[in-house]
Amino acid sequence: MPDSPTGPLWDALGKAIDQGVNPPLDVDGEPILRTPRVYRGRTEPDGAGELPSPGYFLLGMPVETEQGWYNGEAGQDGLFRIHCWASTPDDAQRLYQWVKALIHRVPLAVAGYEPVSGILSKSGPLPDATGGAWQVQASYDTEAKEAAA
Amino acid sequence: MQFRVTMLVRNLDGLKARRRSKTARQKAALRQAVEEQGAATLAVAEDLCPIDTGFMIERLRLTFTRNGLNWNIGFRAEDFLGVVNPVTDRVVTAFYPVFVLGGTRHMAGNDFLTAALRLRSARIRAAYRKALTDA
Repeated sequence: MPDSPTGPLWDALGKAIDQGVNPPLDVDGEPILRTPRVYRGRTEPDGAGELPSPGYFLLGMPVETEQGWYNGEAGQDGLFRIHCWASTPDDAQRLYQWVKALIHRVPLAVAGYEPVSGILSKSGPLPDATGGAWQVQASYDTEAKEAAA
Repeated sequence: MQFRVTMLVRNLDGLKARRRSKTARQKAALRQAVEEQGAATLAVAEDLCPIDTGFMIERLRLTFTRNGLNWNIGFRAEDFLGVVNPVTDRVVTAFYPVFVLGGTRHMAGNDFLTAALRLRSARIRAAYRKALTDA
């Protein structure tokens, strides 16, 4: 039996964001997304010492139990958080709307598993601890099934 | 900058189950189940809670509402703001569970409250269903 699909699913989400076309623009017509578009996990993004400008997605690591899923039930629903960070609340919303078009109920190819589809919902916009950035916190609810051997 | 004054997860299944209860025995069993499930979910949240100085986990509260039929688990700003952390000897000036749970621009959130509730949800509903069985 494969390990938890959590890792491959994170990879699939990151890939969908990296490869997404027509990224959102701010009110001045300038791109909101920076490079790289995606950071991972609970650690600081690479180069955080240089304080990357907001305009990226931070993929949260799910809280896993021994069973390997956010909700503790292997092979069933999992909940993942995607943090949409921008300089303004409106731009954070634009990031969310863009990623929603990419992954909300859209089947994603996940290595070793049947395609995964999830439902995206949001909280926010919420301010950062030190100001200067806003996030929309997206929750991605998914089902994953083990691929046939 | 505005801060939320609470960071909670709520379970409302108890009140819903109460509406289905018929006998006094069922009602009593439901109340016991509510208490047990609230306590069990709190224990999971405590297991999942990140610990540094221990200040935050010591302020994780389980509160019963709706005449003891519902409950919530989480944090309240008044337990943090202006309180001295005895480990660091510093006054806490921010309701920082907001950022632990919701994340900052440099660190993804660790929403262990939602995780705890989600981990327990099926068992909570099963316990309430069992309580409503008039054995």
